[in-house]
Amino acid sequence: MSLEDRLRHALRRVEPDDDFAARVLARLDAAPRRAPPAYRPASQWALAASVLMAIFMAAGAGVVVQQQRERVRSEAAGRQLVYALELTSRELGNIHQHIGRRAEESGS
Amino acid sequence: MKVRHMLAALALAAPLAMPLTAFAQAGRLQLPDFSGLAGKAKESVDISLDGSMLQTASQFMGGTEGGAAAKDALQGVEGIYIRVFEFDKPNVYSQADLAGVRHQLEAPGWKKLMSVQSKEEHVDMFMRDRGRNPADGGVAIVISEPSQFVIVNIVGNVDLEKLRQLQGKFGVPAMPSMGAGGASPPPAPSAPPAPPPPGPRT
Repeated sequence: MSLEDRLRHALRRVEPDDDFAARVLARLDAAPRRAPPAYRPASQWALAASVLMAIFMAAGAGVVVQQQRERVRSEAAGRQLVYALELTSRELGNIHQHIGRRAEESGS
Repeated sequence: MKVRHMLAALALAAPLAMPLTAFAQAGRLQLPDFSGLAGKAKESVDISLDGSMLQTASQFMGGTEGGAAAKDALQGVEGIYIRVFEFDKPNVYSQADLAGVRHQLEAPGWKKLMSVQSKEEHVDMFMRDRGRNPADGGVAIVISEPSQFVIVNIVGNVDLEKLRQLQGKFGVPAMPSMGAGGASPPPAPSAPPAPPPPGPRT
């Protein structure tokens, strides 16, 4: 048998058995199924939500710190005002007394 | 041609300059920078409360005994500027340090209400009418003794009697008292008030 004949014999058309399709389907059913892939979109949403939450928390903390600073500054200004009014009223009182004494001296 | 351009530029710039002059407070003294003396002083107080700071500060006075009276007295006040320096020994500062302030009080508009001069003390009190602009009004008290001086400048429409009646209403236990033969100074304040907020010194 020549090489050509051997090749022709090897590559001849062979029809499958009648139950070929059934056997393939049976083996597919018998094969273990893989777990479904992880749901990526959900994890991406979670990540985005975490980042947003972190940003909001940082912004909120910044606002609180700013308000606290403003309050401390205002309280300091309040103490200064009390001191300023006390000092001014005392000096005005002293001046008032002095004027009164001088008026008495000039009257007597 | 150049002269015409210059006149046109001046005409355009004039309205821009007007708001600046409108905001100027003639009742406010330009207090010198006493930072050189602060290091030598036993006690020093530097208070600068402009209009907005006064509003903020007065919100914290509601709970104090004199809060309502203070708010009433502060009606029309647009700024309070105080400098107090107390030294361990006399003659650490010179009258030249205060000359600049007293010189400003010689400007037209300021009227001397009273003056006391003796060996130990020099007290001057001036007042300025507000005119059209409320911030042009003001009161200035300059008190100097050998070892301490006080400058009080209140800008705006000041009711001296209402201010005087605030004395002792805030429960401030100790502060330098001086001038016009007043009561002897109480002990030096153990806890001076908080330093003023950072800002441009005048």
